[in-house]
Amino acid sequence: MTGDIIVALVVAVALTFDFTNGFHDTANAMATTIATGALPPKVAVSIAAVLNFVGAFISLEVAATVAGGIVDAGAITPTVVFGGLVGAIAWNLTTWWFGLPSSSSHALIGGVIGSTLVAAGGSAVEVEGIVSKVLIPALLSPILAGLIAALGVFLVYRIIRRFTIERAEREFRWGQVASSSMVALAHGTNDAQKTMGVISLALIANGTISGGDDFDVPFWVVVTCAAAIALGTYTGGWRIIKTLGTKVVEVRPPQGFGSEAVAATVILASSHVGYPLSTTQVVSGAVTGSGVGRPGAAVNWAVAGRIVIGWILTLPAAAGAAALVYAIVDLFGNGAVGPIVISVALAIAGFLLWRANNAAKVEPDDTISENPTFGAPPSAAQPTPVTA
Amino acid sequence: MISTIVDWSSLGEAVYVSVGVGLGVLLVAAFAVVSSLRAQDARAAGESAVSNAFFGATAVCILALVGAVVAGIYLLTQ
Repeated sequence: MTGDIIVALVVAVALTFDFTNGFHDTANAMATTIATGALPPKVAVSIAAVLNFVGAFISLEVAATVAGGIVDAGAITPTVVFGGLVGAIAWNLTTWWFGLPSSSSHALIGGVIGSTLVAAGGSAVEVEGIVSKVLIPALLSPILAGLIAALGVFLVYRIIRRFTIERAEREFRWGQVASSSMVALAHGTNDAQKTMGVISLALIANGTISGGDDFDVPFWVVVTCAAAIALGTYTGGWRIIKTLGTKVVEVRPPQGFGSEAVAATVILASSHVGYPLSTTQVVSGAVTGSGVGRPGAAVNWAVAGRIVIGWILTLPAAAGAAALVYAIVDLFGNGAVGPIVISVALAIAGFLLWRANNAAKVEPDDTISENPTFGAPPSAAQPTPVTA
Repeated sequence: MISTIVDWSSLGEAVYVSVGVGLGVLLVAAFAVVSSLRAQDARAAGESAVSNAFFGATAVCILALVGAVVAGIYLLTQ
């Protein structure tokens, strides 16, 4: 009975993480498309939500990929997973509040590492796995995406230079929509599966379902994870969309198309050879690179620097939060009281954050560039008449 | 330590495929745009044969881009 309650809490917290993953990462696919005005904000996040939902069903090669090779599989219990998820949610919400596009995947991995450290000690953490599966890809992928995007966008502007630049730029509109959609689809496939893996792991650890070679992810897990990430995506993490679409560099359609197309290529090529990457880091690197490549564009390196600091802090911060959560849960013993207390605290914190966000809300129109290629600038919109 | 735990062969493959396909997609898209604009200009100038040729070139580029998207979706399913 106690085990079932803990697993039920793990499922609820995992779906909450999946939701935060969705709204945190909407920017990856749609920030540049919204910034140029190629799609209205609400339409863009709706398309991203549908594609995230569909993407979750495309492939089910899940298993324990999140923690596999990172920590000792024998050390993973539902409570360890619970602590890891809460740590990851805490960091996701923190970076969202500051509008920083950080990696949800690294937050989850960091969370699992932190709670495993407290639960089973340092020997249960596989340093080689962390270096090869997390740190090296995290270092190389944004640089690679940035360099390709910089060179590619530079060449694109060389090729189209014989035409009026505004006229040529407008031709990239549907390319932008297609490349952004591809990133949204890839995000749904990769990230929804991570939550499916986490829930499956807890179900297997509890004996609710059997593991082994013929293991199948329960259909209800697939549907709920797809729905949670799609709902989060539709909610739209407008703070991060604003940062990525308007603060790093002024995005023009060829840059938007170039950065999303390069990001999709790097993610797919790397995943195919066994290097799972952070969508967020690849897209952020590509957007920055596209700013370097466009003649006359100026990258705001201060904002880019803040984003990189967020990346560096993600793993240790999520690990620290998860370690703290696990330690608190451990104070209450092996029962379900600890996870219940933490879940209630998490719900209260989420409610308070929601209220604070309403007081300083970033609206969808705030995420459009001041000088969009398509449609009117947001400042041209007529204010809502105030009636007495 | 790094040299022993990193699969440099896979990493190299990911890098050159990313560079090749990433740059290829952008260049094909740029050529599609240039062809489309030239086709529009030729049509406006009443040069229908030139216009059709550039529209054909645009169509070929767009087909190549659609092929890249289909290949990407195929990779996602693997």
